[in-house]
Amino acid sequence: MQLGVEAFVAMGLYLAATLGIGYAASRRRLAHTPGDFFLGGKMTGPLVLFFTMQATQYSGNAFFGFTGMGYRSGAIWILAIPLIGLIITAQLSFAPRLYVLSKQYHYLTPADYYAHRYGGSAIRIVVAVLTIVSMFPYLMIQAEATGHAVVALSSGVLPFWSGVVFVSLVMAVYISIGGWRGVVWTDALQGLLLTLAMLAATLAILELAGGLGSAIDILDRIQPVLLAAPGDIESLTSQWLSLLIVSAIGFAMYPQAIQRIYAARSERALKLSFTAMLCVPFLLGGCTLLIGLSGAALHPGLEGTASDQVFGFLLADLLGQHHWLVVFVLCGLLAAIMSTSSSVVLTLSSIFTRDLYQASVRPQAHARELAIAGRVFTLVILLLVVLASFSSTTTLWRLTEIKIEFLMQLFPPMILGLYWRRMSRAPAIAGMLSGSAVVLAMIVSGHARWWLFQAGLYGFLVNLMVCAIGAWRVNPNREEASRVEERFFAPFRG
Amino acid sequence: MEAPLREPGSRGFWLFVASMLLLCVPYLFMGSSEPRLWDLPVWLYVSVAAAIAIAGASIWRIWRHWDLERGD
Repeated sequence: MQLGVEAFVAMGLYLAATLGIGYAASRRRLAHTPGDFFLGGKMTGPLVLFFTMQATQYSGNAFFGFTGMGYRSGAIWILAIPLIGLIITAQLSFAPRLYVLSKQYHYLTPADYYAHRYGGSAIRIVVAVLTIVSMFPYLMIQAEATGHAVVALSSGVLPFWSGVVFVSLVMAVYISIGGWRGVVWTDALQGLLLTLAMLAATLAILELAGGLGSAIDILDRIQPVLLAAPGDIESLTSQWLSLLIVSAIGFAMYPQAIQRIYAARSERALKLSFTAMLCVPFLLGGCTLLIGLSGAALHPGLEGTASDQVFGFLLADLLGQHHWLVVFVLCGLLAAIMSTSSSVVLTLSSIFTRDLYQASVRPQAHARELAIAGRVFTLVILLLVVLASFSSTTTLWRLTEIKIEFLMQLFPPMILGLYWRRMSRAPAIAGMLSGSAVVLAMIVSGHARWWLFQAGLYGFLVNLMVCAIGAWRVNPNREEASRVEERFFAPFRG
Repeated sequence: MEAPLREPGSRGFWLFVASMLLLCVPYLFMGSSEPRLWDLPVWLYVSVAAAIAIAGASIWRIWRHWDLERGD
């Protein structure tokens, strides 16, 4: 794809804007505390909260992974809409209580809740390690996608490695100086950009295909199977129902998503942003289906990982007629990748700082030291991500699936801790570890899907059973029972 | 003592979400792309309608049932 010097200029302007926003955010810092650096003092309003939730949720995967799924699966990819929307619905099971508790007890990371509810540092470490292990490979692939986007925007003038390094440096600057505000304010710009880019790309690609009716006519002739619902219960259940359940629970446990619940300025801000997030999938999920179907009509025959590139092929088709639009869409793609990456980096940095450094290494560290440690961890994580991205071989969608299958193992102890008084530490840890072990064993042994469901769901069921049986057998002592009652149940009676 | 926060559990809500989730997945139209409505298979509209029902119920629950900050 040859884009010319204007693409360089557009990319430069966009990256300069993110740095400017990062600098402006650093001027609004209220205190040198971890709470201010990692969560902006929990004062995020509804508009910024919505955009940061949206920009964090829609990564480069939305442009390439989701359109590739639409291309391969056909009309059944309409399920992208509930797949994304159900994440917020699943969060309704714990968000109200978690929001109240996080305000009252100043939670910073997801593990803060687990450590507070169950006591002891072991569960904090288990949750932190499980989260980091789940998220790091995903971050690595985002970095790889950044490199590809920069190569495309520079028409191959900038090599892959320089794209990864340069964009990571820009992110390192605005995260380090701006912290939470730097990330969520740039998310607002990036969320807007990615939405407009996706809409513009969809309209232009539909025009290229001669409209939706024409694309459907072509598919009716060449690949009618793409318009039919899958033909057997097994594939509908194992590929789709299972995916919807695993995605809803796994994505709901994203550590950065949980931190956005903590960071809401008020209940009203959380309500408004959740409401908007429930509406967005109808727009963006629908766009990925329309692009996928148009791609299947215009570029039939792509198989395997090549089908993930259908969006790139369609952009190349648009280049002659809509040059500026392609530049704009590629900037939107870069924005989608960077917004997700920066949010995950900041979240992982907060987990390192709070759950590993402060909890296990330097319990006496003062607030300023922790804020500095947060910045250092940010740089270290970015450096590791850059190095790891050069040797990645797995696809984005598969890594997404693996990540959510591990993350969903955090759900049973979260929800049972909020709603079941008897739930205690030992079963919570045993449940998470056994669920994760089942997922790992199934994936390593080549049984990522077995019979009707994915590995994550089997791990989840084992996890739930271990938690339930363990909680029935282990009776919390009277002192612990009264602490749990007073802090976690008394405020919600009624 | 302060009044407890309003946050009712709702089995009905989760049962509704589960049933709409089953409706989203086109078990009722397996292997078929007919009948059509405006060029597209009808099952596609059924899936979208079920997704709208889930989103609508979730929004209703958020605004009808959350009352976590007394005096907010």
